[in-house]
Amino acid sequence: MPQVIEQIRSTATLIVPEIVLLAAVCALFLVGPFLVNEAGEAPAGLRKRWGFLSLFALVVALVAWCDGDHSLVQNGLFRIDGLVWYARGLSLIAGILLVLVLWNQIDDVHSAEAYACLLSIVMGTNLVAAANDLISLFLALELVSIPTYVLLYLGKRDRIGGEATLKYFLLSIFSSALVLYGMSWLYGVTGTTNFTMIRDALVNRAPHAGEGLLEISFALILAGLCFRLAAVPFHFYAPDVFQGTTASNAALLSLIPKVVGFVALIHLIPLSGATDGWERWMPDHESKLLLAALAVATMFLGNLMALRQSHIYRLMAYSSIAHAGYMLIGLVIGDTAPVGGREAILFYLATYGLMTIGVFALLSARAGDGQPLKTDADLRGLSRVQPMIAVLLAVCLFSLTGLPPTAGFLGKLNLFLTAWSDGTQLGHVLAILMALNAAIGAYYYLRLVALMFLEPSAAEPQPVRLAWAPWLAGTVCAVASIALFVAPQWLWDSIP
Amino acid sequence: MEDPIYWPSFFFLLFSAIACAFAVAVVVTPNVVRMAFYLVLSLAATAGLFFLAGADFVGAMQIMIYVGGTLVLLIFGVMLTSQDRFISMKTSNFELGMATGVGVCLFILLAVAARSIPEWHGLTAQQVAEIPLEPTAAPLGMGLLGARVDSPDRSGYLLIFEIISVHLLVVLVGAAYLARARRSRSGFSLTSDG
Repeated sequence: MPQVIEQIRSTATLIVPEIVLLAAVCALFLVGPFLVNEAGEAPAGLRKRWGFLSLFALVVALVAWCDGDHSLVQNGLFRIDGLVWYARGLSLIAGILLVLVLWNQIDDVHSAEAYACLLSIVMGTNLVAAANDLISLFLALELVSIPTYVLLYLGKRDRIGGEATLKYFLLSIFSSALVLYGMSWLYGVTGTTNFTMIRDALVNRAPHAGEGLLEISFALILAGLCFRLAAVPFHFYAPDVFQGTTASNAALLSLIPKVVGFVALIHLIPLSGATDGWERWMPDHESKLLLAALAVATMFLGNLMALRQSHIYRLMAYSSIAHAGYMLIGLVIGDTAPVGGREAILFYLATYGLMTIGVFALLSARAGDGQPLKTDADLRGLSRVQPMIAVLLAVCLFSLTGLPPTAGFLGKLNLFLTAWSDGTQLGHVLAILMALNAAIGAYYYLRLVALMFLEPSAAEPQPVRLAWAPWLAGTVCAVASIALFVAPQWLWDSIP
Repeated sequence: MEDPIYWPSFFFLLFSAIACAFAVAVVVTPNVVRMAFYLVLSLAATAGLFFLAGADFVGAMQIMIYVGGTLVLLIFGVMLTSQDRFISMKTSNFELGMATGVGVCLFILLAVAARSIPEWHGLTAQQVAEIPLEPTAAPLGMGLLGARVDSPDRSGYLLIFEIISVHLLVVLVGAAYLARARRSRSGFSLTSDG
């Protein structure tokens, strides 16, 4: 028994940042309801107190993350390595930015639950990266999706919001079932749920034994995770959900599920090419073709549909689909090329997070006067009414387009170089298609910039008080986008 | 003397026939209440298959959680909430055709793949009888408390157990909000016009 306790203790030391977040989640959930009275009224400014508590928890988790040991530690359920270290940093910093965006998007009554859900989503993202077992991976994936349903519902409780929540809820459950079914086939082939032991079982099996089952399980898991990436053909929910929800939820949905999905795929892809793929981290031939088809379809559909949108949230939903397509190219190539596909994806995730959170933060920064920016008409002539917001928004949009001097340019360049330097015909085709799609994307991003700076304003300029928290988050995102262009080595070096 | 009927096979065929037949019935029937009832029978037969496979704990859980808990709740939910127009669900012929096509294709794919594993078929009755019957409930419980009986050098699932408890907390909070929506002061237009 002492041995068991020692094991539990050693496992717990691997996930200190998550335990900090868990403590904050429990505090918020348990204390929150007592500060709201029977009639459903809360003291004014309650959301600010909960917001500061969430920021505090995230900062403590960040400190624990910095102090933590990032050498390889392996345990039955969790495995800590460079990837985990990077993904943790990414999700904790994204969590801080998202708390700031959520600041004025939630009412006082529901604030405790909303922040608690946000923190548990961050915790789930970290655990997805740390998982070393199918069971812990699945539970971590669910720890991201279940609080997302609640958060979507709390954010906007009108008819459109309810429809968006329900759509996301049903499709997300369906995708979880697919992942679980795929995992059960994988367990059936290998007889274990532990990643290390699965690898041993696959390497040591008879040649081609259980090939068909492995392919089925890979296809099912990929289908389930593609829902999170919003990759075609699992993208249907994205535009409606983005349009129906608040800016903070849209920012969350555009980044966190992508981090979760790609990190989970980075864990699982080597299983598809079990014998030779494991050492070099690349998918086998059939999976490559499947992923390439997904990437091309996702890029084209996302970009072409975005051309027709006049609602900015809807446009950003299609743009997030298109960006998932770009990142899928990195998965196709794997780590054979001089510029590794995995590194390119992880770099792109960080830069994409900055741009997309930045856009939604700035769109909602004006929401203090009850007028969030939502459609083309709202953006018209914004540079005369709100010059600072217009400039920062333009930086984020340039970054999404992939223009220098922003981090988005480097993200796209990395992926392009990865695909091109692969040397195969497939790599070249993908690189060219990606460049073509970046050009299509430029049209609709730059159209928004033109609307802000070249068109006359519809309304008379009047002073609007900005909400400081989303404003701060948006400024940090825009400035960091430029700073990362100047000093990308800092981020590049931290990628495992 | 040799029993003329090999009973494990008999029960396997019986339970699987019940499970499959009622699973098809769930899909075919247009009535929601009957759907729920057929699902009860299908899942109960699946529990029988678990018992046959020696997974007594999973079988018992299947009965307690699915048959006993979830489905009774589902039937009550359907009976209490459904209005006439929702009780009966009609699917168009096109949808039925599509679903049948996809379902049959997937079934053939899975069946062929499962048959391709040599270890999964061809056991004789003699070999089956030699597989030792082990209790499953106690090792599972110890595993969830952090101790692995089968491989003592690996840690158990205590932390997983804790993560599940966080799930349940979030689910309960979410369910409370959804259920409270009708009385909410902040207005909930999804139900306000219904």
